[in-house]
Amino acid sequence: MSEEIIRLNSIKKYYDENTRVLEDLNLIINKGAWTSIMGPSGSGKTTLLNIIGCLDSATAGSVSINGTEITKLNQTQLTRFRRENIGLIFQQYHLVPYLTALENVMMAQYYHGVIDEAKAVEALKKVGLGHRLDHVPSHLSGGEQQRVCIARALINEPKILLADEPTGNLDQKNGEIVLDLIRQLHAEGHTIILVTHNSDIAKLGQRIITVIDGKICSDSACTFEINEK
Amino acid sequence: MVGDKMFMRILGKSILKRKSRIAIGVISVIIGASIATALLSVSLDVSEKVGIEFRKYGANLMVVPKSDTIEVGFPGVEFGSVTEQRYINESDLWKIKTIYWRNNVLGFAPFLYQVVSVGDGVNRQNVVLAGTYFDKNVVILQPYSPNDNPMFITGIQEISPWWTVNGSWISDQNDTTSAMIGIKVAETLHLRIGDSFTVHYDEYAGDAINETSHNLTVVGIIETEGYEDNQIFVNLQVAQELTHRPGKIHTVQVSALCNACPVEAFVEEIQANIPYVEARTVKQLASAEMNILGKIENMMFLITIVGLIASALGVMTTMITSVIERQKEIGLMKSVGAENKKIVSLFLSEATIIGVIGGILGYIIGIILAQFIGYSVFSMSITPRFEVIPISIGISVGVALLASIFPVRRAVSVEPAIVLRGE
Repeated sequence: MSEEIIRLNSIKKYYDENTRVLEDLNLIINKGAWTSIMGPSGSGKTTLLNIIGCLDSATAGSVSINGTEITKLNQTQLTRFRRENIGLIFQQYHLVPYLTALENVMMAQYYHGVIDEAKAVEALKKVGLGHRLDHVPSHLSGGEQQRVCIARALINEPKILLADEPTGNLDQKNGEIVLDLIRQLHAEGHTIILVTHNSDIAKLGQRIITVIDGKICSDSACTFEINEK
Repeated sequence: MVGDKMFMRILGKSILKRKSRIAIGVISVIIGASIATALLSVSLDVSEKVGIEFRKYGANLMVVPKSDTIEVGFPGVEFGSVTEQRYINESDLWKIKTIYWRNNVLGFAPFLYQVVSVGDGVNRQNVVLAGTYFDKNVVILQPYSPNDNPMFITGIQEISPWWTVNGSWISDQNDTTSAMIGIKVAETLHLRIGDSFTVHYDEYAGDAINETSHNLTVVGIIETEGYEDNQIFVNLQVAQELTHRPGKIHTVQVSALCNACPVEAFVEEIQANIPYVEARTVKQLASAEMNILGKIENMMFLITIVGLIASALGVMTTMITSVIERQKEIGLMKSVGAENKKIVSLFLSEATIIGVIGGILGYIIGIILAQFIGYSVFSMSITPRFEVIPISIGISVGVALLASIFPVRRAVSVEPAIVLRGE
């Protein structure tokens, strides 16, 4: 049986009484698994991803990641925990516009406290951008920017990679390149949680969770268990 | 070390990327820094130069005999007043050196003035003759303390060492034939060093005029840019004998070192020791100039405060705009692991750079502004003071950092989950 890495117990996220984003959500994700989260816009899937990524906090419930109860951590401890355990891949890449591809990756190293330029170059080579090290984001294509974002997410060797619509802004060709990279990272043992609207992309994962109105509406793992029975 | 390099790289590139925004912040700082620099430069320089002007006056205390003023006229009809001419006795001068603050009395010089004529026949010209001490041994008859030196060397050479003298001072206190003349007297009477001339004093006795003459030789020509340029200086005894006023003097100029001590204390004690005199501070005599300087300093202080507030508002606006424009960048930095202190240090470093550049440029512009004020208000140039540079930079950095407190708090409160939302 696989070792669990993420456990969410009765997670609630309310902005106010009328804006209930997540409602009593329970979820266990195993180490090394690729979990795809689907759902319509506003269903709460990005909020769920942000809570797992320590970017947002739950109104109630507990979140345990890699054995640490993160709901008990203060802001600084959450930041430290995030940089050591989680890599983030954004739909809009979010690169610092005035830094080169290499510097964007090194910035993540800098905030992690360990700067290794050779390692940053290696990470960019791994995503096929060895020839674009000194280019600023405005001189890179969308696919290339997303690959810099992936290199940045990887550079501190996080156990968990969270990707929010990583191919949402890319054409099919660049989308394929990015998905190949994510497949490769999964094969290397990273735990992947990927939010997507695209069912074909979701199917690349071992498990598909569908979130509607802040609740898990379907979970392929459960379906599998039911089918097994 | 590598981390510092990366920090500098992020800081440098973020500044270069937003040059125009930073320039607005720098200009804001320049406004306050230039006014502060101008204030300090004018204040320090003019105070010092006015001080030098006061010292040029001869001393910072003037002792004169008390005089009775008699009102003249009929009841209801005032003609004015007449003042009786009185003198100070030369024999009382040593008492000036027996006050509590005696060690702060650097020197004094008595003066006996008389308008005399110089030249022959119809070409005679009237000039003020001043008898004084040049370098005189004064005996302190009753020292304040037994440990005090009973001899005190004093004279005009002691209290006015900055006079420009072409030739030499009168060094012998018994020299009755030498004279030092002001440069304007030398020009008017065409006298040079080594030339001899005769002074004539006419004394009216009833209807008769008794003329006394005395031959003098020019040993030095004085240039002070003051009233001394129009006078002839001789040993006091020469003036006393020529004008038949033995042992008498009109005024005493006292040079007192009063940086920390109250000058009023000198005045009171001198008046107590020599009851028939009154002492006045040169500051009192020059109070009008001091008042102008004081008022301008107050006005410039207020303008500086307003300028620094304007600077602070300018920097704050720049920094707030910067934080708003860079919300995603801040959110991203936080999302990849930047703790709040890293975000704070990034923005405060930017503010410091704005402060330093603004402070340096503000100093340069402030010096130009100071020259303008110096020429237009005081008719004098203002010497740039390099000690004002760190003050200007310090004030600028301080203002920039203070103005950044609110924007930095806003930067720290940026929530990555909100600003990085993928819509």
